[in-house]
Amino acid sequence: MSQLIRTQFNVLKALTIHNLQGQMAAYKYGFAWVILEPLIFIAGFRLARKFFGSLASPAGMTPLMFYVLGVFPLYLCFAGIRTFTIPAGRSKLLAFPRVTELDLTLASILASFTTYFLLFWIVAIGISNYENVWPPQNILELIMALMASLILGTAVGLFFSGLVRVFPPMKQFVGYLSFAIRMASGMFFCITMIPITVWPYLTWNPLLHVTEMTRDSWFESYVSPIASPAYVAECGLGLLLLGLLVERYMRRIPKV
Amino acid sequence: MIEFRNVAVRTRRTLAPVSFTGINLRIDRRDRLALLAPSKSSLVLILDTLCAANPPDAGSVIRGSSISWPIPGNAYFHKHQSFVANARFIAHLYEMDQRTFIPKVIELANVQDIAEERLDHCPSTAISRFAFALGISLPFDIYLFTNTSAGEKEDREKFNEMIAELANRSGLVIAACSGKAAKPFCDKAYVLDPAGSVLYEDMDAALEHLERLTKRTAKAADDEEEFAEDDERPAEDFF
Repeated sequence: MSQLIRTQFNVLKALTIHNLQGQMAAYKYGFAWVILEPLIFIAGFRLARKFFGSLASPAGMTPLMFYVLGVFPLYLCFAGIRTFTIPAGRSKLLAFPRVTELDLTLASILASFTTYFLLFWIVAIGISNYENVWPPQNILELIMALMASLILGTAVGLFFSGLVRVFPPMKQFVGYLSFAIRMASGMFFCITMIPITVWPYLTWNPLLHVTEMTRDSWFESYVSPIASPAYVAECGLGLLLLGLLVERYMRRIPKV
Repeated sequence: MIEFRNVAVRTRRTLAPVSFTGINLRIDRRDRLALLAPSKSSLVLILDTLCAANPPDAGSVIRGSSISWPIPGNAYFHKHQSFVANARFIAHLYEMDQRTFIPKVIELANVQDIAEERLDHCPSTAISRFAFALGISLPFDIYLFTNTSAGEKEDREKFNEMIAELANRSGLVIAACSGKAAKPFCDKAYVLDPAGSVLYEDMDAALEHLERLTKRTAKAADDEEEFAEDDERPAEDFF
């Protein structure tokens, strides 16, 4: 049994490294684009706020860290959602009989987590020192929130992978869903900036809890009125179970 | 042992659909057999099922032995990386000792002088030798080949000897659209007919069946093309 677990671990390790080495391989300086993408987002939001909005930090938070703590959890979530194409696709690595679609999905998730988690700390340490908000108030809560974001995204990705396998146009719906998540999950707002009458509807979204948790855990001056780790854990477990069940069931159905 | 029981497979989203039903085959550890199919697309269909890349539409596949990937397939290579880096990936994946595995593969592929070069800067013959060497350097119960020639003409004899040696200690499956490559190594063959698989203990009989099947498939494709042209003609006349 322990040998099988070790083999599974080694397969995942090999595929994760292969995935990391292949990211944006078609471009010159490919890996740099993976790192630059979220940074461009953060800079873009900050500039937009400077030109179109007020200069005050939202709810007692520093402006750049506010966006860093909103962008990275959602990037991790999108990295999880994006894996929906893997079980439905025809990866060349499936020619290896010991590699399954779930292995490829998990390897992709681990590769994304490695990239964004490392990048998060590089950016966060630099910016928080610049804005004098280092260190984070609760580092454990912060890490849990980042991991929960990835798990939620993965669960949704696995669920959609089953649907896309038999009905490829479902890909379009994933695009709409990503847009909705981007808009409603606190990437560029926190709950205290929203009228209180809307809170009951917005708080159904577990990703909003995640972004609230990241900000709550970093800033001493911000206490989120809605962040609920228990709710995130329940949603994460429930959705992950659903996603894995769908993947397990659809595995026996030939790809369209 | 790997066994197909009443397996049915078909292509999807293709202009010329291919389907097989009633495939029953059994591959044992000491077998030297050929899998002969009339076209490449039909072969890919069966290989996908054999390597567990895609489940069958019907029937079941029982896997009791380890099988290689289709050698000398090289689609998984990172072309922007070196021979050594690609060999390292396979060593990781199959839990081989890198210190002995990588030099062995590099030597077998005869790419010592370009081992640290990017693959896309190297000649295709070197890459095909490398893909071949990677597959045969790993321990499998059954080796699956889609091509028995790799590299230049002078390398072929060496690799053929290696395949023959492998066949002495493990199972050997050669999947091909023509029997030429399989005949020297195999003593039995499954011909994949759309109506079901047929086992031949005599390679010549299997090749005859394959030839008939190939002609029939080509004729059907011609008829379909003619029919499509007839369909198009009124529109052409109209314009």
